[in-house]
Parts: sequence; C-alpha cells; structure tokens
Amino acid sequence: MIPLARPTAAKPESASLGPVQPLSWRLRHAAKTALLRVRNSVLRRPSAVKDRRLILDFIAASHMTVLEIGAGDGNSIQQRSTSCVDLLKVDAAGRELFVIRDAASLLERHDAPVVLYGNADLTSNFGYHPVETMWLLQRYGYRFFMVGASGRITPLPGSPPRDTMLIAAKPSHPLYPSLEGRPR
Amino acid sequence: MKTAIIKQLLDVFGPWSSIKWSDTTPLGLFDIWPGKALYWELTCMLQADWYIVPVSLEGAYLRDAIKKQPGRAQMVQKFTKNVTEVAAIPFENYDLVITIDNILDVPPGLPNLFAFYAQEHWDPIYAHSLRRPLNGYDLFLAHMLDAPGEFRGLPQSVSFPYLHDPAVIRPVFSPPRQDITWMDWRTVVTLTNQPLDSSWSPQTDATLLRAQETLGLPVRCGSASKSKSYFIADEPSWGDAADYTRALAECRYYIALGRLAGAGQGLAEAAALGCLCIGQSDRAYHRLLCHPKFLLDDLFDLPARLQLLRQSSDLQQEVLAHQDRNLILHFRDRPLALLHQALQMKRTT
Repeated sequence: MIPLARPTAAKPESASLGPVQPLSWRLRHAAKTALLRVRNSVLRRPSAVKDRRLILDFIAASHMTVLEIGAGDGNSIQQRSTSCVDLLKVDAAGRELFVIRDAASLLERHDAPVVLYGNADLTSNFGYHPVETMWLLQRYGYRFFMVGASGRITPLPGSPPRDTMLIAAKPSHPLYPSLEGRPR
Repeated sequence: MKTAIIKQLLDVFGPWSSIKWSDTTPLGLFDIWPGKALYWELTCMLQADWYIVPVSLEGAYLRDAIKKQPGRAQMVQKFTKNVTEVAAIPFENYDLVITIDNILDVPPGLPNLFAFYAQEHWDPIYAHSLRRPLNGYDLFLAHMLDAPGEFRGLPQSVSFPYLHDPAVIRPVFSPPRQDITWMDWRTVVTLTNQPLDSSWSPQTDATLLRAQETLGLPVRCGSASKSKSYFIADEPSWGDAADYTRALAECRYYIALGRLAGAGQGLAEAAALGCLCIGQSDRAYHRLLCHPKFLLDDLFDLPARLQLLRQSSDLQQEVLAHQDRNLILHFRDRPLALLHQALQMKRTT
C-alpha cells in the first residue's frame, strides 16, 4: 500500500520502472532533499559525477518517481505508463534526442519531470549535434542547469561544455527554485 | 577608376571567359560564371574587365581545387573561353589591376596600381603576403581583415574585404521576400555533427527537416551543389550562381553559425541582398555586419533569437538598417576610398 497516494495518479504498468510513488508534499520534500543531497554530497566528488548510476540511486532512494531510459529502450517510452514521473533520466548512448522526442507527450505537460542526461559527444554516431536536444527541451519550456566538475549545480548561461551532466527543469516544477539555488 | 581583374585559367572562381564590362551586363556575367558569385559585386562596382590568363603559379589553392579532383583540370580547360596571354593585356588602359593570387611579376615604375587577393586564407600565399605584398605588387588585399586597416603607404598589406554594395545587387536580385530562412551549409553540417569535408547525405537532409521543425519556418540550403568541392559540378552549371543568389534573395533570414570557415563572406552576401542575418562572433565579417542582438557565440540561442526577430517588424527594420549602414561603410566606402588614396600615391611617387 502506497501511503498518501493521490487517487488520480495512475500506477505504472511495468514493474521495471523502479520505485514509483505519487507526488505529495512529503514526496516533493523527499525529492528536493534527494537532489540537494546529490548536489551537496555525491556531485561534490568529481569521480561521482561520471557515475550517473549513483545519481539515480540517490534520487530513487528518495522515493521520487523515476523513469529511466537506456540505450536499448528504443521507442518504448511511449508504451510505458508515464502519468506520474518526477524525473526522467536518459542515458541512451547518443540517442538522447530521439528518446526525448518520443517523450513529447510527457515533456509538454505542465507537471513534466525533471530531465537528467549527459551531454556527451556520442551524438555524431546518430547524425545530430547535442544542442538539438537542448533546443527540443527548450521548446517544451525547459531551462538548463549544469553539474560542474566540482559537483555544483549552476544555471546554464549558454552552450555547455561537452561531456557535461545536464539537468533540465521547467520553472513550474517544485524543484526548480532549489536548482536555482534559492529558497522555495 | 578603370579596373582589370585577372585570374588564372584553372581558378574555378569568377567568370570562365575573359570579358569586357562594356560587352556584358551585371546579370549577363552569370552566363559565364558557374560556382560562387564571389567577386561579382566587386566586378559590378568597379565596372571591371576580366582577363583569364594561362597558369603561371600553382599554389596550394589550385592544387586543392584542381589537382585533387580527377578530371577537373581538363573540364575547366574545355569550358573556359577567351584565354588571354599576359603580354596581350593592355595594362596602359587601366588605373587598377587586381589579380587573384600573386600571378604577375610587377616591374617597378608602372603608373597602375597593382593589387591582389589570395584566393584562400589557408594558402601559404596568404600568410606570406600579410608581411608584405609579393612580386612587386603595391597592395595585398587581406580579405580576412587581419592586416592593418588604415592605408599608410605603398607597398602595403591592408585589410580589405570582398566588396559589397546593396545598391548594386538589390536591383538585380529583388524577388518577393518570403518567410524563409537560409542556413549556411556549414551550419547544417555542424548540426549533423559531421566533419566539414563530409559529403551531403540523408543525415544532413534529416537535419534540415529537424531545423525547420525547431525554427518553425522553411529552411533553405544550397544542397544541390555543396557536395561538390568549390561548388563546381562535373560540368559547369551556367547560371548556378545567379540561381543561388536569387534563391537567397527570397529569404528573409540568413543563419551562419557553428563550425564555419573563412571570414564570413556568405553572410556579407546575404546582408547585401537584404536578408536579416544571424552570425557568429568569431567571424570578421559577421562582427562588422550583424546587429549586436544577432551576433551569437554559438548555436545555443539560435531558436530564441530567431523567434525574437520574427516577432517584431520594428526590430527587423532596425537590424536591416544596422546591416546596411555597416555594409556601405566597411564593404564599399572605406575600401574604395583606400584604393583611390593608394592610386593617388602611386601616381605622385
């Protein structure tokens, strides 16, 4: 039994999505705490920045609803239940643009998830520039934050350096003020 | 200022026939002018005669444009008409002689002003000429604008762009303007994340389609010929340069960002045609021409800036006025004044 379940929140059909919890004020708080923990502890260690799994583990442990899309998942995002996703973590080995395109219906929503992905230059294998992924997310209303080498999360003023971990969030997202480094 | 422009037979730029200005028209020049329209405005502004002379200097550019392309030398020779021996050029009829590369040995004491452009900035000819004009020339015209900008005396290497004048090009190419953006092919290749020397492919076509979707308007790119080196096909497509220019003139916007090369000549051509340009801050011509709001450091802000431009007709007018003002100043008035000044000095000394 999921405590504080939001009655309207549909549950995911696939058990492979990881821990799924509806959004409530408690879970928002947990999610915020998770990202703060990521920011404050894990990402301060440069070696941890490279290990995206760690980030995911931290966030998952916080009971955020996490949808993780990997390189082999193809278009399966459309087939999944995505009614209650707080964070979309994409690690598609260069196919990020196409994965995020497939997630249009999820990402266009007002309550769209935070998106976490790497800006690695594997995209040449798929014939596109990493900036195109950012353009696409911008169209959905996202703004960008960069996880720096020191682990600090900072708003992104322009193009990020290659091989950077990026966090995209909409200003309407509860975590957005935290990402900006100001109190909610 | 009576002007002659001289190039070598195997130089693929410019007209492929010697021709006198009095025997042609601005539009008529394109009948013998395949490839890019580089030097076309210069020709019209100076009302210059063209001479095609036999090859005497085989520099890096000629090797790249001709020797590396099997069969091209034979093709260029086959289609180039009215080749003139240097000795047969009536130099005494001209105040100014401009050559493409330093292909003449200029003896001292002539009253004419001799100047040359280097066809490619990566050719060692360019770097050597930056120090001092070669072969007895009076001026080296540094089109990358990396030489001194002020005229100090002769001989001198001087910053000197390819010339442009809205008053020359717009009456010839004034099709109805459409809500289309032209994207430099290098921008498309950058977005495809491929090297600049890679050929056009289904991936680059897919990039163009995505760019249209992102920018929200039709995107045009000279894709038919850009897979050929120097925009020259297996046989010259007469009128290609005119078609290119006309198609460009139909576009309201022009975008050149990403891994670009050279000084930014494509953007200057677009600005001369009245396109509203978005350029990159690391290109010399872009810095001179682009409105500050539309001079970007990279691709990231492109969709937002284009949107900003599209939404405001006041801003569009402001951008066009900025571009025109700078085009006339930097690409017409100043360079022409410099030539007059140099000619005057040549004659008095």
